[in-house]
Amino acid sequence: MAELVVNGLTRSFGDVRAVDGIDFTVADGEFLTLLGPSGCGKSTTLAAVAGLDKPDGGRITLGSDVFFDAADGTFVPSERREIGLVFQSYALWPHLTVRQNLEFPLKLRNIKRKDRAQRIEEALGLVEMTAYADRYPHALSGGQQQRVALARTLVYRPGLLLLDEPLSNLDAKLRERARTWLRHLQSHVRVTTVYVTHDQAEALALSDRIAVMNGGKIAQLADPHTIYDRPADAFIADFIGSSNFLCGTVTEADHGTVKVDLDGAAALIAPSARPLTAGTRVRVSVRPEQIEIVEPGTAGPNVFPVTIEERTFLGAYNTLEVKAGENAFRVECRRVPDTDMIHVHIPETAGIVFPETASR
Amino acid sequence: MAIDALSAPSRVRARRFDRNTAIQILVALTTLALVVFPIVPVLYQAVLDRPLYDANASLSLGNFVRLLDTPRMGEVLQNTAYFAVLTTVIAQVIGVVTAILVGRTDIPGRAFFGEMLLWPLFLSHLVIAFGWFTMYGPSGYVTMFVRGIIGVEPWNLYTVTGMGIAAGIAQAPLAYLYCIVATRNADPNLEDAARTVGASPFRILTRITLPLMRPAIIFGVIMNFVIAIEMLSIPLVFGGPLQIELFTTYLYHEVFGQTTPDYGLVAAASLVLLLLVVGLMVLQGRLMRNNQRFVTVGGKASRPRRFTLGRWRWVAFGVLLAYVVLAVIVILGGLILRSFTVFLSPLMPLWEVLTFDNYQMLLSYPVYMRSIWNTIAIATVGAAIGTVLIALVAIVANRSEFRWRRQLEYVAILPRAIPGFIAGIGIFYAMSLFPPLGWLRNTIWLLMIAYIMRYLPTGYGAVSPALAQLGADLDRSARTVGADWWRTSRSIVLPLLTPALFSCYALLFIHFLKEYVTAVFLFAPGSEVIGTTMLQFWTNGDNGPVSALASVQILITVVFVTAARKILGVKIYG
Ligand SMILES: Nc1ncnc2c1ncn2[C@@H]1O[C@H](COP(=O)(O)OP(=O)(O)OP(=O)(O)O)[C@@H](O)[C@H]1O
Ligand SMILES: [Mg+2]
Repeated sequence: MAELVVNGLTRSFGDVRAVDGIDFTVADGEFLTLLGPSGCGKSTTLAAVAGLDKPDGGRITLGSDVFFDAADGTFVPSERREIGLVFQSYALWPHLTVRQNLEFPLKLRNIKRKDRAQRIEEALGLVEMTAYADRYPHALSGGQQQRVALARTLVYRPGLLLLDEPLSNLDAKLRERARTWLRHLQSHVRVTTVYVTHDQAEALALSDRIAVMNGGKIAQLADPHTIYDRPADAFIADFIGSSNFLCGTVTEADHGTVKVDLDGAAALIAPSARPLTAGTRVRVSVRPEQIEIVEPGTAGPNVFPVTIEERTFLGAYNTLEVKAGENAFRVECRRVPDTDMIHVHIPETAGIVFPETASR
Repeated sequence: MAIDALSAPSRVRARRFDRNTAIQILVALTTLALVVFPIVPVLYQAVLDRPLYDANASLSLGNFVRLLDTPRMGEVLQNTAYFAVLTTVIAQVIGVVTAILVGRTDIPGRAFFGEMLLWPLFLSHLVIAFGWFTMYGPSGYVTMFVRGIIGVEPWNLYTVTGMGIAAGIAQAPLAYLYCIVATRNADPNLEDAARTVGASPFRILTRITLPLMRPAIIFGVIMNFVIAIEMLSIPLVFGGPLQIELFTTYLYHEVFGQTTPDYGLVAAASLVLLLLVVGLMVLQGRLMRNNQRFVTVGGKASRPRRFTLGRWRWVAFGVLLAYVVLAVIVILGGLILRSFTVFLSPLMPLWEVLTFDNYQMLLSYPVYMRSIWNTIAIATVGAAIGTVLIALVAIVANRSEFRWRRQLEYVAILPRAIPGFIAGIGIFYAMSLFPPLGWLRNTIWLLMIAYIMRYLPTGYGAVSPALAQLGADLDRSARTVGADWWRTSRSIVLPLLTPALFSCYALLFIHFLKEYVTAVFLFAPGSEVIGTTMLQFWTNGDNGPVSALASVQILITVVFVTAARKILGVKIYG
């Protein structure tokens, strides 16, 4: 039905290039997440797609409709784009009841009273808020307001759904439930969706694809598994999950694998997609949950001794701050070892090697 | 994909006529016309050698030369400067002291004092001046009473000093208002911090509390100075008998004292006054900007602690009570009492002079009744029109993509720098400059237009902060669901702004009720207002009906303020 295409979008505020020439396409019915740290330009991108802010350059189209084209000066104002935007603040109109909030967009479209009632019923049913139709927004909890805000955008069946950190005002538990529920709803309605968040767990759980943004640019655009398992650069590896970075120098490079001499410690074998030459300084990213603690005396590649510096109990598991030579990193385990000296094993397929000059 | 894109139906909604820009332009032009309308003729007339309706008039600077050559000009300027400084000092000292006492100490009766100290703000200077005249004038009740005891004339109100004291006390409520707001917003942590390092309460007061009130004090000083310079009532009432001239009374007499007023001279003098006031306003803006560092952050949740006065508590109470009685209650009470007597004097027993004649007179003379009805009509209708315009200006300036929205805001707050007196003269000139507007002459519509222009900044100041408090997402979300700017304004922004609009209406109503300076040049038989009639009849010595008229104005104000607060829950002055 409608595919969103964003080409070369740029937006500057004074000297700040908030959005710096980004391209992406969201297929019909797809769920794309813009993920990135605070200030990376997510909201600015979303505002440009919504028509709330006029970008400096680029082109935005939805299906056959051109929303914005810097080349010929086209700019369709927000109210004529037929899109839905859920605000982080929900922005429910406090002087209208839930029903009236939903009715307003329908009235604007001159929909007959009877059809209006039916559509409101439908939309409220979808978000399971039928019982609250006659309440005012201030008498709703955060989670309920968030659902009403969503219903208010779905009720007029927009061609594109935009969500700007819609779950960030909910507490951790509710956020998790809302996440599942939102994903379910989106696959049911099958509306093309762009979702903005800085919460990586949310992005991984919800999205068909994720665009990781950094400094106004898209650093990587891929499905959640690829983003998690094969981050394109050290920034993404660090931002998604909490990676350890082990520094060292490449000693041997074969096609597909490299051998790295970790600073002041043992050698490490890791896969590498990049062609690297011996002598290159690298950082190897390894996620804490991938590191295994092994019995002392276990032999083999990628096994080396470490000293425990700090132990933290986190309920389901413990984290250990360990040190091997110059490198300090984190290891997760169920049971805390009682000695300070242990041996760890990093699977040969686990590490991701980034040249030290890579972005960061 | 290309084929797919072509076959997909367009979902973009068709563009209707762009009413948004049309409305925005209309609002901006109306505001511009309203503000420019009185200024341009003054500027123009100031550099013309003949009245501006005279076809043979040509450009010249002669008016300014003649202004400098005016025989008593030096004396007039000296009087004005002395009067303005004295008024400001007295108003500020009383305002700051009373604000600290009521806002920051444990003095008894704070709620009562808080009300009494603010009340004079609701009344016209003219009413207050008559009150002073009735009680403390040369033949005033209190003056005669004191003379009866000590045998000599205790004071003389008919001097520049006397005027300054009366005007200072009349303006003290304004200084009080700014300072009391500042005391409420002070961050208690700052004082607590001083307390923990061992500072005595007095040191905290002088080293922490007062400096933190500095922005409010500076703001008040300039406001009061400007008001003193443009004040007409008190100088006219007290200076008239002995022909003490201030700048405003000089202008007033230039216009009304001559059979053919010297228009050029008046315009030149107005221009000088206008420039002075604009200069002061710019200075105020500068000073306030540098005062950002005094703005305390956060700390709104807890009110600052009150200083304990200890055994001085009742002494302070006594002093403040005496002040309120002498400066507010005696004056207003005396004025009302005067309206029910033939003659008010301590030498005659009250019951012998009681009468309803003054009110009878109001009822029987059409001009009195007309003034009352005109005043009520202007206040009721004018405030409504003004509120609508101000609401529109506020949403265009703050909540639209209008190209000139910043400039619109500047234009809307510009009248703050135009003294009412000059607005009146300007519109008076404009009438002769633009003949098509002739039908407005002698109607209350002309007064309404003048008043709305004059109080545009006042109303804007009540609405625009409320608008700033309203989250921008509320209108942005309306836009995304498909409402254009005007629909969003009507259905979302304005309804949410209702409380502020009520306050704006109440504020305009009160100001329109008490305004007279602007009307002095514009009223004609048929379009009199209470203020102009009071001034006219007081000059004739008809003190009885004038005090009855003043009492009626007080009554209308009391009824309106009480109703607005109690029934509509409107906030007037915080
Ligand atoms: N109106 C504006 N004026 C000036 N700078 C702005 C404006 N809006 C955004 N910026 C700047 O543009 C950059 C990107 O802002 P944006 O709001 O898009 O970030 P974000 O990715 O949404 O961050 P967050 O996760 O904190 O919401 C930031 O550096 C911000 O300071
Ligand atoms: Mg954001």
